[in-house]
Amino acid sequence: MNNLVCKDIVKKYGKKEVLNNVNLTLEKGKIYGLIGRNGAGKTTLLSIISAQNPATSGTVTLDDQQVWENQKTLDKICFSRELNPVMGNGAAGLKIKEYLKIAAMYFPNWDNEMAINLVKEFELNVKDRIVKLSKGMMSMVTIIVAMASKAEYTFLDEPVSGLDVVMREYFYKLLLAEYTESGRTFVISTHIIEEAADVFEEVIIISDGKILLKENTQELISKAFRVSGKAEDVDAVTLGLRLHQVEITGRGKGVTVILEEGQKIRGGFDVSIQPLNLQNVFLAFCGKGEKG
Amino acid sequence: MSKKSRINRTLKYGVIYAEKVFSIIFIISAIYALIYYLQGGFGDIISDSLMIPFYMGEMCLIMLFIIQITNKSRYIPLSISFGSLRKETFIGIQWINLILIVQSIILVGVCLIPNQSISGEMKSIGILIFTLMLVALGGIGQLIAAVSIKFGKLGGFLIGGLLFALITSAIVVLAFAGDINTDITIDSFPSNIKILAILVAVIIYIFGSYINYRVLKNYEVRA
Repeated sequence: MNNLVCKDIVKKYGKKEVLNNVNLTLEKGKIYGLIGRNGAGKTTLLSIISAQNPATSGTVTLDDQQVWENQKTLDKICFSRELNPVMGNGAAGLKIKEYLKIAAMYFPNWDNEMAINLVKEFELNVKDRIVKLSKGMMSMVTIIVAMASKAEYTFLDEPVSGLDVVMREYFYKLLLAEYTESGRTFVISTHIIEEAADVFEEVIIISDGKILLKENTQELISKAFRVSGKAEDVDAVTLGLRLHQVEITGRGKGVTVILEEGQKIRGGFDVSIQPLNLQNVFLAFCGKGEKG
Repeated sequence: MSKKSRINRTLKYGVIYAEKVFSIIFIISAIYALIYYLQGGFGDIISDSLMIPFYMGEMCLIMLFIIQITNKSRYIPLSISFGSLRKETFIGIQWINLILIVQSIILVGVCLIPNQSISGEMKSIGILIFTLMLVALGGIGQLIAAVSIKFGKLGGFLIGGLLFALITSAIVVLAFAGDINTDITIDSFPSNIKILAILVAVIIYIFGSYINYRVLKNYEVRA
């Protein structure tokens, strides 16, 4: 089984610990959603998995082989970073066609035909300099690199940020089509959780440098509920359960529960039990006041 | 889809990058020389025939130095973020330098041919000094790039100060070398001084490259 395994990853910048003992296994042939608040450590984690940044300690292996400074494993990985007009990965001053040409030199399985088609689909002018592109257009360039790289493990950092709803929809379709055809593994970090929820086979929630959860998206959603009613009734039906997003309004109370194996919400009380979407599940773990 | 040899891709990008820089050197030098001749030159055919190689050499030195600094913000992060090894990226930098140094020497050498046919002697000592300056600047540039990667803004200030000092001294040295070129042949320079100068330049280059490699070993691509 071709798995990408992160073991005990710690990343420190000075005294600040950005990743705290991260253990994570990415199985081949899945689309993962990596979600977390700003500064949670998403980009740092992807940078370390793709060996763009070194970990302070811990190891990343692919097929039991070290990823760090190992060309054989790095050839199977593409982390298409979010482009930045100021610093970025050195791409800012380049024209789109130059950037794609350089990418084509490096990625061993580069699909030039796909890159050309996507440039047309996104209606990009390849003579434009990256520094002059809008945020959405920069996202399009990172998507082209990620898709055309044909890397077995492909990571995208905020690929839909700045894209309008039409292009976001196009990206999700493109992603699913490529996934179906190639069986590649994708890890997508995003803040636009709800509309991407259907695309993610598994979701990874990261908070304060720790992996809080890695689970099948539908299974996770199926056990997440919002319970509301009179405070005493809510307390009674949720007794023994871990509560998130507790809100008290007068005599009423609302809580979010994520059921663990063997747990259930008790019956016999007049409470409202509503299923949650992925965004609300995320809020339950990472909303203000929540500490995982 | 074809498999590509690993070192080949870093080299390919390195060559394209170096050639791009070299074409900039060529164009700027040609513009300099053209302006000089449009202004009437020195009026002395021997001195006039030295101006093109002088401008070419000056630009080659400046660009070779600058490219070491720009590698930090362009070549290195792009190579590594596209899956290149740090070691491979370092080798790519050495290829870029080698290509630029060899092409610079050939360019200046070719530009000296008209002067040779007029004066009857090749300015070998000028080419030697030029080569050693290229090699030493390649090393100093790599050292400054490494400091800048490691210490960020502090490195930037250091680069600013060193650049100022280097440019000032380079102008003085170049002016001095220009005088030497017209009068002194390579035979008039003691060979032990030549060997010492070569050694110093090579040691500076190796030292700069070594520090650059040490820093690159743990390079981080920043967002």
